[in-house]
Amino acid sequence: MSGPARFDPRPIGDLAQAVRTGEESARALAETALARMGPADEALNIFLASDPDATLAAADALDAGPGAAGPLAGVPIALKDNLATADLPTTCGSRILENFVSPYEATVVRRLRAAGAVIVGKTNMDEFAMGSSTENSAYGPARNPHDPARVPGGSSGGSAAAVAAGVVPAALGSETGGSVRQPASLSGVVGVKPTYGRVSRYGLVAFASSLDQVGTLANTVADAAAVLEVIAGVDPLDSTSADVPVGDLVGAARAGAEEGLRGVVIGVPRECFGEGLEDGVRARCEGALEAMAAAGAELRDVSLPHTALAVPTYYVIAPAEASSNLARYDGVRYGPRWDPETGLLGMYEETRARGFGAEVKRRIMLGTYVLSAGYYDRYYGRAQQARMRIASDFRAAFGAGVDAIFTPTSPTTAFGLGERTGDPYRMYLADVFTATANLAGIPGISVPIGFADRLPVGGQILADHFAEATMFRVAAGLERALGGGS
Amino acid sequence: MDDPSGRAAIGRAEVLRIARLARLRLGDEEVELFTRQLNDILAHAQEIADAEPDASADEEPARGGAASLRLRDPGAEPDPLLAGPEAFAPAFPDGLFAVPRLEAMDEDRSP
Repeated sequence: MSGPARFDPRPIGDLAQAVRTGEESARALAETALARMGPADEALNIFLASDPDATLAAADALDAGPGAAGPLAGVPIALKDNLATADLPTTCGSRILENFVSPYEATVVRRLRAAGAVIVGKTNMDEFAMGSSTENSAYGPARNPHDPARVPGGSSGGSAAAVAAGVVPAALGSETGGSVRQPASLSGVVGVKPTYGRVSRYGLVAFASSLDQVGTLANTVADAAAVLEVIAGVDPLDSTSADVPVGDLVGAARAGAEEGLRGVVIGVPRECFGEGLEDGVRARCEGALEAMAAAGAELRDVSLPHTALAVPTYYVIAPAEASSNLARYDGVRYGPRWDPETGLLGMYEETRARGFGAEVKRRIMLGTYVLSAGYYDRYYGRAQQARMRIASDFRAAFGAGVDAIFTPTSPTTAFGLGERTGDPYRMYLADVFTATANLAGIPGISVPIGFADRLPVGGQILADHFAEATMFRVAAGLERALGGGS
Repeated sequence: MDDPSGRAAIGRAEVLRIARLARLRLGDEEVELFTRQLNDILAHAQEIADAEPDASADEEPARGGAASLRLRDPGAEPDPLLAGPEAFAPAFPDGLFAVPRLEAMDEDRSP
């Protein structure tokens, strides 16, 4: 496979081991990341904030410490700008949080630092994670490292592009309907959405609370597993985090790469290979299925009959929750305030009118409408029922003995900047294969499976609740079968 | 309001009503744009309203739904702030977190 160079050919585990033994310094790794950040950011607009002095100071502290301990010792990592950090602003790509600095840090950020990771910056994103292209950022669109005239996907497009451009070996993003897996697919990297509850959301700025989850992006399945292993696990500060053992995810990935897929049953849902799939994406997916079969997997037809309801269901439930979660941005508690001196309500309305971009306003309007009297049952109530049906589809498939399910991650490769901004529903269709996992709460991973017209294509592996180990094993087996991994 | 087919159709007045509920001031162009786009999006959302109810789907809720949420452990210690409130309060007179006076609130209180 071709494309931009990786941060380092070594696995993250080997990089950290080199730092722990003193063979490599955390400072040298941080300097490499910072040196690449400038040119990449100039070309692709992928970072919203960084503090090179603080990054180098953190690396120096690791090098000076009594043995740079931790599974991510010295590993440079970028964070999506909706994860709270105390030393850098957290804007969510929005004017309404311009220059906002959180007084506390997200649990995932604290866990990364405790594991020795060095934070190098905050990445560009669709405003409040609402989008599939990173064109909805108030700070300008991010661009795809494989073709700067195209989008990197979204909403975690800055994080995906930072990994794809070789600025960092890994990054964190967040998922509500596919916002890690879809940009991973379009940018040619690995992207993971864990089970709902697997990772603490404490310090993740809320978009749609029954769907949101923090995810990882990296060059390989094993690297994505290594970072997830650090951030996963129950957190007393997030009552929605689950007290379920995380397990040896890196070991699972290693097993998949080394032992192949013999004995693994892969479900192939016919609903995901119908109309609307680009020919190049279809061809790469067929190649991935053949490779998994050659690696020993049994392919079995399954049906997910309610897949077609995923996008309309998602685009009722997520805006409904967003309209409530974003009510807090009123010019009083956070960020800038615009006061036309026409009364308190006028101040709220003016601040929100100037602070929010068009997509956020559109979703707040949509969510307010579907929750309003007379329309709640027709839209929101029915969407909740459809969500149960989508979850039932997966329960039936996994209950019938399927270990994992394979689908395309995105129906298309990266599209051109501005190509879909005038047609919101067409943009929403980018989530057609990813939103089902968010609605059902199951884990999913996007793995690069080749190129179509010189643009990356991703294949998606879905697994049952809290079966991340199975998911990583299958994903690493697929990656190795296609000649990737490390 | 409903159109003759029984499907929801949003007009300009409805968009303005929703905007008021959402505390959003919209310009004329935005009202026109959102009226068209919300109708487009809701036409697709009608697919779920048209889908046949399925009793089996209600047997077990999807994880992540409200039914799966639990309360935070009452014994959990609050996360200590990295700095005290005085460090990020606009002003901190006599131990009180003071925010800038809002002109609009003065007007609201005036007779």
